[in-house]
Amino acid sequence: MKFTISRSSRGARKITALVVALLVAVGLVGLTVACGKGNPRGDDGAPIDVETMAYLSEARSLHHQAGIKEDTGDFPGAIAAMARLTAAQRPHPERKVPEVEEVLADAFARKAELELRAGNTNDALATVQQGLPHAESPTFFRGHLLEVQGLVEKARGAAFADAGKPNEAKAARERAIRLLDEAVKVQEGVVNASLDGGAK
Amino acid sequence: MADAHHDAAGTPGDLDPDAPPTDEELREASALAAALEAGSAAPHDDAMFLRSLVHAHAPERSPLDAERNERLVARALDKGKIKGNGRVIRVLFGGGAVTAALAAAAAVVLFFGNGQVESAPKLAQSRSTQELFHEPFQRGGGEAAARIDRIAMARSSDLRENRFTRWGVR
Repeated sequence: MKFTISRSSRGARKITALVVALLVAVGLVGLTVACGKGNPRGDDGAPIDVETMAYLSEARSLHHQAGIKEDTGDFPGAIAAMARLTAAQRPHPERKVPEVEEVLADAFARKAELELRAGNTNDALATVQQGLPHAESPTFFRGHLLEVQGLVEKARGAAFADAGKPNEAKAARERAIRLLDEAVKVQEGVVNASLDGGAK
Repeated sequence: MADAHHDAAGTPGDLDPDAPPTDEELREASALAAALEAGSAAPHDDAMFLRSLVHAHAPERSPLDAERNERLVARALDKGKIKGNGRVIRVLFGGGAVTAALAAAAAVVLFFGNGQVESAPKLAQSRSTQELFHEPFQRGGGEAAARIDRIAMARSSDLRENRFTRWGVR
């Protein structure tokens, strides 16, 4: 492409500069848009890697360790195993890895269940609340956490009633019903989506 | 410089450095000495060459006068000057236009190609494990352990596939 510019024609220079700037801008915008379409899968995730797999392997070991301790009635030991998992170093802390988030949600749910069985309802409530941010989407993981939270509130209601606190007991029972109802809705949503082909 | 001495000796192996100068060598030597004495006014190739060596080795021995220095500098600068601005602008804008055209062409290929461009090997991505489960989770430690077993095994398989894909093993 050749632009012939008369030395004396400043207006022509300006117009040519404008045209070139416009071409450059169009080219850059086009490239940006095209690069945005460069991933034909439309998949935002990163490939499964060794770090994520190592974390999953660690989680698996700690779950089985907790299982052994739970089977022998060592609830503090089982809770400690789950606490190790929830506090374990996570791969790729700069981003959310779906598998890690879901494993964490499940670990918090199991820890809360163990604490509930051990009679530590306040700890169980705190634990389940720590787990919910790891399962914000309507999945079985979130549904399970809500279910556990509902059971914790049910247990707290019973404890309040035993302690002669009927108002607190009533409020806890209401929260339990609401949470269990929410859990049911989440689970139904997931099942329906699965039947509709949303999850295969 | 004439090489009568050498020519007279015949072959290089017969050259005798201690031989007395020939008449021609003596004439050449006198002419060179006269040219060097006369300075640049006397045209003599060998004298000019020797003066160049002296200037290059010790320029302070023959400083230029200010007027000649300025004339030489002006001439040198004039040679380096770009004649006119039009060419610079043409080259600049021409380059910009070519760049823009290439960028636009690449954009068209990528944008409208719709997958025609060869893409990287497809790797299993990190994603929700929801697809591994088809019913709400049961409570209990055994169930939880079974879930993590399933997740770990599924992703282990994905990782293995990714390795094979990267290695080009299909």
